[in-house]
This record gives sequence, C-alpha cells and structure tokens, in this order.
Amino acid sequence: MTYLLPRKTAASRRMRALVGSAGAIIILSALILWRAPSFFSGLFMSVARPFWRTEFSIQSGALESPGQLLSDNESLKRQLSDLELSIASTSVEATLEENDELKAMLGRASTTPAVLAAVLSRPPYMPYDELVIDRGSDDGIASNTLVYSPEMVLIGHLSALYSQTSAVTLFTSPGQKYNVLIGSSHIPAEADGRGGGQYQAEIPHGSAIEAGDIVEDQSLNDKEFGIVVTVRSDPSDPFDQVLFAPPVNIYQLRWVLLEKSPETNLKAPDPKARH
Amino acid sequence: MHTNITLRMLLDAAVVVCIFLGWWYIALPIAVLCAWALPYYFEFVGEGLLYDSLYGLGRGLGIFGYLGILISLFIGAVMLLLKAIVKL
Repeated sequence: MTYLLPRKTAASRRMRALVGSAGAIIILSALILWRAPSFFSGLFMSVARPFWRTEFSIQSGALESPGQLLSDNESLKRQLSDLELSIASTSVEATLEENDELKAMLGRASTTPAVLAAVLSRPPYMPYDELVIDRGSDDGIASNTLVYSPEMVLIGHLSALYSQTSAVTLFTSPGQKYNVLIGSSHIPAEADGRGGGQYQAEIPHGSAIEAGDIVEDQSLNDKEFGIVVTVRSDPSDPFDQVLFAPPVNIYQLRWVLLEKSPETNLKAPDPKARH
Repeated sequence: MHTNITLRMLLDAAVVVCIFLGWWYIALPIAVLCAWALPYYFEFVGEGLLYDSLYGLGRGLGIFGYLGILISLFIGAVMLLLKAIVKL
C-alpha cells in the first residue's frame, strides 16, 4: 500500500489554497471591473496622488537649498515689481479697458472662469496622450470640461473625473476629433489627433494654406489652436493633408487652465449696451 | 524565509512606485524578473490592474485600456510554462 507523505500533502494543500485565493481575487476583480469600471481607477488615483504631488514638488525645486529658494524668491519679487512698474508706465490698462468694453458690446465676457491645475503626470511617461491633473470633482470641476494651456491654447478635455484628480485626454490623442478653421481664409476642417502632439486635417486641394498658417478652433473665442507645420499635396487627390501642431509643447506643460465650456463664456447681447 | 518575503515585498513596492510614476519601462523588467525568480508571482496581475486603472480603464480606449492586465497575464503564463519546462 502506498501512502502520501504528510509534508507533501501539506505543501499541496498550501499551493491549492494559494492558487484558489489568487483565482478568487482575479474573479472578484473582474466582477468589480464589470459592474463599476471606475472603482479601481478612483481608488488607485487617490493612492498615487501623493507620489505625483511629490514628483511635482521635486520638479518645481522643492528640494533646492533654502539659500537658493530665498535667492529665487528675491529675484521673482524684483521681476514682479519691474513688471508692475512697466505696466503702470504704459497704456496697457487703457487698452485692456477698451478691449473689455468692445467685448461687452459684442456680448462676450472679457474674462473666463478658469481654474488653474497642476499637471501631475504627462507624456511621455503616460502611455497615451493624456495628462493627470490635481483638480477633481471636489473642486467643483464638471466632466467634459475643456482644458487650455496657460497661453489659452485649447489642448483637450476631461475624460475621467475623480474626487481630487482628473484625467485629461489631449485632442492630439489618436481618435480625437475637433472642428477647426485653417489659415487666414478660415477653411473649416476636422482636426484628427495623430498622437505625439500632432494633428492632421483634410482640406480641398488648391486651398492657399502653407506652413506657418494659424489654425483656430471654431468657437467664438478665436483662440489659436495650432500652427500648420506642412501641407501634403497630391495632384491626383482632391484633398490636401494639413499637418499641424499646438503652439505649445504638451510635453513641457506644468500647469493647465480648466474652463467649463465655451458656451458659458457667451452672453446674450444687451441691446441697451449698444446705444 | 523572512529574507525572501522582505525581498519580495521590497520588489513589489518598487514595481508599484514605478507604475505610480509612469516608469513602465523600469516596472516591466523588474516584474518579469520577479515572475521568473519568485514562486507564484500573482502580484503581476495586480500590477497590471494598477497600471490599467491609472492610465487605461474608462478612457474609451477599448481593448487597449486593458493592456496592462493582458500583458501581465500573458507574461505570467509564459513564465509559468517556461519554469515548468526548465524544472523537467
């Protein structure tokens, strides 16, 4: 008669228990993913946030010596006072006031309700054309909020919203589309994201578009959306391919501005204001 | 035994931190080495899930949103197979 060794049986039981536990965890995870796809994202984003904040602080120079920080602080204060002096001595304020009045006459708000957000993670460390920012639903941010660079260049929209963080999908991400106007003749086209901070659009063959032309988004904001890099033309093709890129480097973004939607900037023209 | 568990936990922590910081090119080789050197490295699947949760899931990326889990399952299975062949 053959008997199994007790030690071997115990090891076998341990292995079965281990494999069973792992299988149960995998099945449970799959069920959670199926029923609540954003559960793990929200959970892990909360855990990852302190790491991203630390990385951001290190990149911002938080680990520099106190002497260096004091020196930087002093330098920035001087720059600020110089700028204040230069603004006071020019007619910038008068121009801004005039600009505000003209915009009010046209029924458009002079300022936009923008929220500043720090970029915690960005390409190329992110696998897709995405950013992770440190603002979320706790800050009153809504889903589908448009995202601008600090120079007010439209770059993307919120694709996932969590309590303290959000994911921004850039319009340069493959599969993303956005309506734009190309060149001084404002040729309407659809910008297709190509990844890596590049767009592609089709325009009718023979359109007078060349490298360096401005691309604007089709909202009433007239904000710069991109700059034409090259135009590919084939005589046998009725369409030309326009390749363009945002005027800002998405790989170097440290801050972004969030705006609720272009429509929120529009105000009905006040007839009394015109007279 | 304790050294092994400590080492395993340290390696897991290193992989998780690398994933948090987006350094997948460091996390992946460490995880593959762990899958080869350590017995029953089921953490690999969890790390794939962590990666997808941070950068993939719920972004409308379809199957690419599950790339981390799929790659971890594939590499984990290949490692198990290779280890079984080598033991034979």
